[in-house]
Amino acid sequence: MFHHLRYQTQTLFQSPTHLMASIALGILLLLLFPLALQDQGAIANELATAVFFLMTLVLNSLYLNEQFHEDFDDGTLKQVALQPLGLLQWIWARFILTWCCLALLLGFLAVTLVLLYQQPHEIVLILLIHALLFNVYLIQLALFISALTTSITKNGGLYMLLLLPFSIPALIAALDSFYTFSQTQQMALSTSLLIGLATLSMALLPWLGAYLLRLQLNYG
Amino acid sequence: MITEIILNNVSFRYHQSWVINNLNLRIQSSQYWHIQGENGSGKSTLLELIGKIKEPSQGEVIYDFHPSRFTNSISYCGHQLGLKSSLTVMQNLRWRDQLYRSMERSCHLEPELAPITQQQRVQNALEFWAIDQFADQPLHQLSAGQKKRASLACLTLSNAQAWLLDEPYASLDQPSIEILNKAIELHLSQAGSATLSSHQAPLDHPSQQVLELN
Repeated sequence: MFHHLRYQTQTLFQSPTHLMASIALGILLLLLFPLALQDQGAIANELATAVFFLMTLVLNSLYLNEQFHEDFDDGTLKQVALQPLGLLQWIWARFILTWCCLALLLGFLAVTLVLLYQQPHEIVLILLIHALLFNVYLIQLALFISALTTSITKNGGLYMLLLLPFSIPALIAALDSFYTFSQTQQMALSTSLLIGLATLSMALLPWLGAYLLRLQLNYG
Repeated sequence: MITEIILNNVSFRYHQSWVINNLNLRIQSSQYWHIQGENGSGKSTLLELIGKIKEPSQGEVIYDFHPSRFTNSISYCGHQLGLKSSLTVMQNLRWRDQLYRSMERSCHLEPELAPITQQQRVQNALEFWAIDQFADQPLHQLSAGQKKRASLACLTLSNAQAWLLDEPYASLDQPSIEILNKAIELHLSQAGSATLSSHQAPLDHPSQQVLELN
């Protein structure tokens, strides 16, 4: 799997436009949302962490859109499919790469958010841990949707909107868990739900994604 | 090593029409199969079925292999290059080499060839296909023929017994065609098999078999 990870990392850094555009939009959302609240700075400060989670969702839906489209078009997937479990490894490599890239970005943004919106400094770590757990579920789900729509050439990107309804339970769980933990220093039921969703998505969705990619190669 | 690839009553349906219908075929070591047929007759589909990239709608594809050897001994070169255009020829070939070695490891096999470094293997392939001078150029800067040669160079990186080549002569000039023919002859002489679809006149080889698809 690590040779796939290395290859995908090289490809990402040779043509990072998609990642950069998604990051720029995410940052803009985080920085500009107080404009919508006009003079109500206190409300902006209260909502900042919720917007952070929403930004994570937007970032994923923009960046992970049509993730396997190029691999399908240039024949890479066919080469990977010759290897037993090759497609599964390909999806795992993409997951690790995306999670690491977004973890670095979220770490930077969590610090920025705390400084910009006058949040207590000790929440940075709690916020980041919750965002990263939420991100596990989001990335797995987005990769699954990308696998599902790989061979769709027209408006395939619109299918990434499917991410929004399916991510709502995890979003609510992440927010609830974050607020509970930052106020009481105790884990809530929602924390278990968030961990459960992340674990379930890791255990299940890569296999389903690999199966869908196989179907796309068969009939696409 | 695969000694035989057997297709038993293989059929493939795409949407509502049967592209391949009840095909029986045996591809043996040192055999050279030339698949002929008009556009849309199912040549590419057949090669993908042999490589198990596609699953047959009916029938089965069996690899009759020596139990102690490589089970997934297939190397496939299709219409698409299977390489990333933003990466250099060297980076692409290194990934393919790692992919093939990983296949061997997953089957718990010792490499069949003499243990040489990845750098040497890639360098040998680059030199054989006369693309060593483009090794550090991104693929998108190369001509169609040079890209095709980079894609074909991956064949020589693998220790695969069965080569599946879909229109390998497309975009190649005469010197490149001669290199490809030389590579196929060398592969056949080492007990490999080559199955290719092409509109080009086939390589004149004593083990040649022709399959005409309608």
